[in-house]
Amino acid sequence: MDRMKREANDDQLRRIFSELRQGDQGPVPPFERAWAAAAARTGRRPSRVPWAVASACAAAVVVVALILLHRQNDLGLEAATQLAAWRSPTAALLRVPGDDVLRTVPSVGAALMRFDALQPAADTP
Amino acid sequence: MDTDALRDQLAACHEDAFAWAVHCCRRDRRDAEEVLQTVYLKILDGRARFDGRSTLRTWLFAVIRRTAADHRRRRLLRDWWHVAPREGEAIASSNPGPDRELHDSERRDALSGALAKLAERQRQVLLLVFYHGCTVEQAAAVMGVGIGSARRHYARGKERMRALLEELGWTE
Repeated sequence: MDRMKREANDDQLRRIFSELRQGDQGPVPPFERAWAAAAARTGRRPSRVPWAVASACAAAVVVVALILLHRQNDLGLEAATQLAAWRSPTAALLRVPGDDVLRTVPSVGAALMRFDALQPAADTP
Repeated sequence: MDTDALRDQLAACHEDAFAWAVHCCRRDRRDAEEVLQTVYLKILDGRARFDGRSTLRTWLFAVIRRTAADHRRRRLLRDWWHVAPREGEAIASSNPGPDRELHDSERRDALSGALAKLAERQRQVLLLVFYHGCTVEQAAAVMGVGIGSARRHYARGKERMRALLEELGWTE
């Protein structure tokens, strides 16, 4: 059923395109004329000079753009370095006692304080 | 194949080649003539060579398709640069002329309109198969796509075309 429908569709399209083809029967330029015109153009390829000039100009534009971009990048890097080097004048006020304990990671099984003093000495009777 | 033999075979295909060029140039016969002339020039100066891997007609159609695409790109670039139109171009575009009269029939206009609404590949494959009598395999070779892709465009194109014709209330 599906195949029959598909074939009917194909037949319809074939008829429609054939109608279009019949309507397209306009004048076709003679082969001899087209061939002769093409033969006359052989060896008369357009000069490559304008393309070379255009390419050189495009290359120059690209180089200038790259230089400008590079300069902008340098300025950006300098600004970033300055920003990273900046220190707040009140940074010292933020330091609290025991600051270094907070900055280190404690290891398992180790005490923060040493208790050596509480253990009896080896020569104690 | 020597030039004379090739020339004879091209002459035999010329009418079909022109019809295909017209389709590739969006029905502009003047552009089609220019494209076909460029194709012959490519053949004469060796930029397009027939290597016998397909039929001469399939190969010629493929060269026409590529040349028409180049031509269209160049035309767009030229329009973009606002270069002065070619001699007689303004007249040709403003005056419908005898070529336009070919599309006087409302039915053909409607059909052309429906075809224009299809995607480029779908239109090409339908024209190659139903108008130029190519097989889907030959259409794939002309379009420079794989056979699977051509079959997909063919099936979708037919579906879309049928829907468009139904919208138009097409009757035979």
